[in-house]
Amino acid sequence: MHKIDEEILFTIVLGSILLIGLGTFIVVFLLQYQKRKFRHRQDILKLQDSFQQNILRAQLEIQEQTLKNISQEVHDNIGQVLSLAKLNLATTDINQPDAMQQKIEDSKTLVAKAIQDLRDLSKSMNTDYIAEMGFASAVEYELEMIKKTGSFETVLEISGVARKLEAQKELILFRIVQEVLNNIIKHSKAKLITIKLNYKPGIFFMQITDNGSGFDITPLQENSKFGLGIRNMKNRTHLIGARFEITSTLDLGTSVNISLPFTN
Amino acid sequence: MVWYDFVGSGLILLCIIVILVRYPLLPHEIRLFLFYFTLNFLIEIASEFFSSKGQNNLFLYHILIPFQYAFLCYYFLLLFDQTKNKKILLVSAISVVVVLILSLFFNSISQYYSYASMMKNIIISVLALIYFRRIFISNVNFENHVEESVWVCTGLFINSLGNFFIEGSMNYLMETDRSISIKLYYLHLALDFLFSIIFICAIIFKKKPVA
Repeated sequence: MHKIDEEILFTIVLGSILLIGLGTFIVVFLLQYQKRKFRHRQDILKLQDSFQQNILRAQLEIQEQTLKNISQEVHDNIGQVLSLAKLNLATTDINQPDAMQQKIEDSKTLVAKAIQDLRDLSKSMNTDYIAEMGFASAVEYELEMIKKTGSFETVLEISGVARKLEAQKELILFRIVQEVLNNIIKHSKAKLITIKLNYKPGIFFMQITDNGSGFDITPLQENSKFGLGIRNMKNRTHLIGARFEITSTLDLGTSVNISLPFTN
Repeated sequence: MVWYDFVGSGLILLCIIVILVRYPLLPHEIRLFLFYFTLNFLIEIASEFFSSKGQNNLFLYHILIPFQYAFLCYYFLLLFDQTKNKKILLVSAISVVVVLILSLFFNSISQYYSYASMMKNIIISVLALIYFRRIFISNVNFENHVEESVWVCTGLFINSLGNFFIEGSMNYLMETDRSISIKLYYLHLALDFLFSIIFICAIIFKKKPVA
């Protein structure tokens, strides 16, 4: 009898302890879970904030680049054309009607060209022109501006069915295109710039190549000041879920390859 | 009066003092525990009075448990913000009142209140779990500070789970083997002390809001 009583006591105490243990486990698990959930949410907010800052920075850089292009275009191209038209008109001789007629015709052509160039420029002053024109058209326009300088030949190849990417991704990609083109103009001594846009099902490929002097990409692997712009481009591509690859051979040129999966 | 009566009454009194001292900082639902502990304290004093006269004092706890349950129901009603949970609470309140009345047919007023206690413990455990579920799915931040209600519900949860078997078997054991019932009663007291200590710590360690 005494043994049975002890067993009953043991069972009740053990049952109570197990229930208390279960209750304690539930509460501790709950508190730990909530803390980890909060930390995770904070990390996501930081990433979102960082992403937005990068987008904003890219927008500002595009605006800056656009204004630089406009300034260059007005100085180098439109200014020259209008100066030539003015010179033509200034040297017309009323006593030589045939020559005068020819000069007037030439001036008309020059002024028409200046008007067209100004129209083109006004398009690019609209900061949403990437969204309006589309990514491929915006890239084509950039190449046209470079070709107009007369120092480069440019080629744009588009394959596959062009489709619209997300606005923020197009912005980042366009900024990268501008930076690569800037680097080519400043450093490569190239004569030919080729951009290939390939729209495959589920993935978008972009390749920018030049036939310039190339460079040694080894210092890029090291954490040095050299290649800061390229590392910046790499970080931006990672931010939008794309892959960035750069290859270069001395005297043969450089190739920048970017691949971006489409998201539904 | 034996030592555990002193400790029990002392802890209840300490709870009352802590609530009064930190009253301006406490949310409304925690302030209500002032009534809860005051009622408990008065019942303990009355129980000691009857016990010293050699009279059965168990009838006091038959009266106390419905009031305790009603109070805790109201406390959870203030904590729950979803209408669905409030409906569950009201249904449980009505059913428990019915059961508590019916339990008098099983445990007379002079016997230990096992059925009433078991019912109360089950419902309080379920209500605490509903509250924890709400915390689980919410975006509340526990990085720097855990709300007092979380600790109070934890104390109620552990107290109810632990007391389920103990109080449930108490009436039977008191009639069959008193020595075991006395040992289990110490465990029951320990759980009550634990709840009081958790409550006191939750109030004392409450951070003052930053101005």
